[in-house]
Amino acid sequence: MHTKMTILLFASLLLLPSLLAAASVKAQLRGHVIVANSSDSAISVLTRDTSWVNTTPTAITLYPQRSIRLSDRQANAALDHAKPLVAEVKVRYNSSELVVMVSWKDRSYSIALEHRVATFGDQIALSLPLNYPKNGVVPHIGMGDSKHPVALYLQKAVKQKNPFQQTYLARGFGSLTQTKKLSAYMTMNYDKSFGGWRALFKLPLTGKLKTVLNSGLFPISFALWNGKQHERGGNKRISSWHFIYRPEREVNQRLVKKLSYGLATPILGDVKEGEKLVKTNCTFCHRIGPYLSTPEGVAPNLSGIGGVALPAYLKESIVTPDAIVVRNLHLNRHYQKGGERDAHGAYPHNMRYKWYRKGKKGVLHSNMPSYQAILTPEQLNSVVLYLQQQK
Amino acid sequence: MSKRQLAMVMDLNKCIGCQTCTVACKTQWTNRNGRDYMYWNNVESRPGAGYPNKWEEFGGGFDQQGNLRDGEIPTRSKGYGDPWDFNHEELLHGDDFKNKSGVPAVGPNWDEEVGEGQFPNSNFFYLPRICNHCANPACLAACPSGAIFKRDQDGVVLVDLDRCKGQRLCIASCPYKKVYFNTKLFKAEKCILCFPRIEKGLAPACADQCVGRIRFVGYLDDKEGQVYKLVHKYKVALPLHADYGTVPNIYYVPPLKGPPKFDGDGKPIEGSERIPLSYLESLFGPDTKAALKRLESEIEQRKQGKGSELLDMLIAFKRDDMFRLGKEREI
Ligand code: HEC
Repeated sequence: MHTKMTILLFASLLLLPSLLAAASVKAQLRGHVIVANSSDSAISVLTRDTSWVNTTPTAITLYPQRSIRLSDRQANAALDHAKPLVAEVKVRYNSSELVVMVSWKDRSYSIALEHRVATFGDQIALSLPLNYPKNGVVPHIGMGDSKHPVALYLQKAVKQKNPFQQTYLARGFGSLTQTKKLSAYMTMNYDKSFGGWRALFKLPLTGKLKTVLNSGLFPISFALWNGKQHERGGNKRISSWHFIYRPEREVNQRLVKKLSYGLATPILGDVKEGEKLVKTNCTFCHRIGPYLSTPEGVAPNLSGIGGVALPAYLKESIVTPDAIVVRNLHLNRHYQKGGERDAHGAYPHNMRYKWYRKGKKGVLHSNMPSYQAILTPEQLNSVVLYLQQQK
Repeated sequence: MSKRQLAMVMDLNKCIGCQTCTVACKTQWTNRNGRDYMYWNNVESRPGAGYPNKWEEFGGGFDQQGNLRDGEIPTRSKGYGDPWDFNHEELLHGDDFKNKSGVPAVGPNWDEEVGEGQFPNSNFFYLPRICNHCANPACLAACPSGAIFKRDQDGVVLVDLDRCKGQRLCIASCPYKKVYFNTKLFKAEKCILCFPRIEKGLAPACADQCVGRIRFVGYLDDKEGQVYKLVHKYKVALPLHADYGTVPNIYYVPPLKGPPKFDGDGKPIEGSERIPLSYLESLFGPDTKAALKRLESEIEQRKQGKGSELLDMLIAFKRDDMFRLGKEREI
């Protein structure tokens, strides 16, 4: 009896550091950590397997993508009333693979049918940075940016022999390029009794994402599409970056420290003051909350930014807009009616809708001014606090 | 946007609605591989719903300020039309109509020659339509994948199938509904103005095979070409729905007045409009009146035995002059 107690105590003492580490990471990146569960044996790819049923889920909230607005009337009508969606994520890994399972409710089961032109399948995608974000700068949530490419794993419910599964590399809106260099085993099944989908992604711990997947803490984000509401492409719900935590691995503290701003402890600021500052400084270019005087497309719409962007990113966007440059959609979406037409009558682009310019060696520079010298640190906090609440 | 722009003029006064262009295009490009339902070229009867059904109601194009407008995608069942099996028992032996696939409600060319008004005062004309290869293409602007491009050498608008993700925003935004969804490849496809033929000095199949010789093809900056003359010199060829803001490059010579209407006693009503000018203006814009006036005055001139370069062109006496592709025919 006595010896047994000693052994138990001893064992829990051994476990303590990693438990503490887990608690600390979770506290630092509050609400954004997904603890991965290790496994000694093969991991089942059957989502109803008891091993999966017994795995603790992490709830993730996905918000309608509002930064850019596309041109499908029906999808946009649905977007105006779209609500956030909660998905359950479970992550398990062994020595050779990491498996991510996502379950989400979707009563309007929808698959893209052959011979139909206006049906859209429900879809899910995972996004991971291609390179490990050592310095804590994670890629833009909108499928990466010119400096920070992402890997995308996509599954779509399609009535064909094989479900539509594809992997892509991307550096921002419009840059999605299919690749065979990312391998994964994927499944996506509708569970009637659950009233939703269960999707599984088995990623090998080798290959292009080797460094990322083998680190103790790495970013992942999720996207879901409701086909019935004509969602596809940019019309989707997305999560902010979350972080998969592998307890037995070393955690990059620099990343944690940098990204903990506004997550570990609430930002000390004044929301009212933040709103006032945003109204006077930002709404000439951005649409946000009730401030909609600027046309859609002059700059990213910030109305849903709090749900999809981390506070550290929001702060950085205001202080150093060049760090991550968001790409605008095709410039020809807005042409200048009064501008000089070319020999064949084509109107020139309206440059007010251009978000960046190209510098030396093709480096992108944002058309947004830096507010570092304009806002005091206190004011900056208030602005970020206001943005954080725009969901 | 492009260095040069190829354009087509269609003389609606000569179109007999034979659908040879439609068939030429279909057999060349769209009779297989998920394109079976598409008509890159169609000939619709106007006034009428057109193809796809009521295509003018789907939105798209650009607004008055030059911003892309939202649009909708037609469906197979209500827009393009689903194929159906004819009930041969009914057709041949007068049996009851018992169509298994239901009673079809629309189809390509569904309201052919229905037109408007009651005999003897009814009217209609044919309107052949292909992609307008616009100078400001809404499909290109709408594509979030950057998959649609406009060729520099001739302004032909094409889809890069490798980049296309099948999101169909081009279909929603094209106000002419001339981009289609390939239901087998899950990609967008459209009229390519027969660019492989153009590159060999051949006119697009629809124009080449047109029995009525209604189609002229050439570069808009080629001042010796008939396309230039019809569009810019005589200003009798007008774009369809320029109000959609995409600066289209298919031009139409609007239909002439036609015979007057008849009263209850079967007597012609002096000065009556069989095809109302307002209707033509709703399609071809405010310049319609001037274009028709020009045509009428040239006809008058000709009646008096004077020459008319314009009518000589429209009569298409020399077929080879209708197509100026800046290249000898290679075939
Ligand atoms: C002159 C126009 C302009 C003004 C003024 C402006 N911005 Fe921006 N902003 C942009 C453009 C263009 C972008 C996209 C390019 C980039 O990534 O910097 C952008 C990007 C952003 C982003 C990133 C959005 C995303 O979806 O990732 C945030 C956050 C942001 N701005 C916040 C602000 C705030 C807060 C202010 C006011 C203090 C402000 N902006 C003022 C033009 C402007």
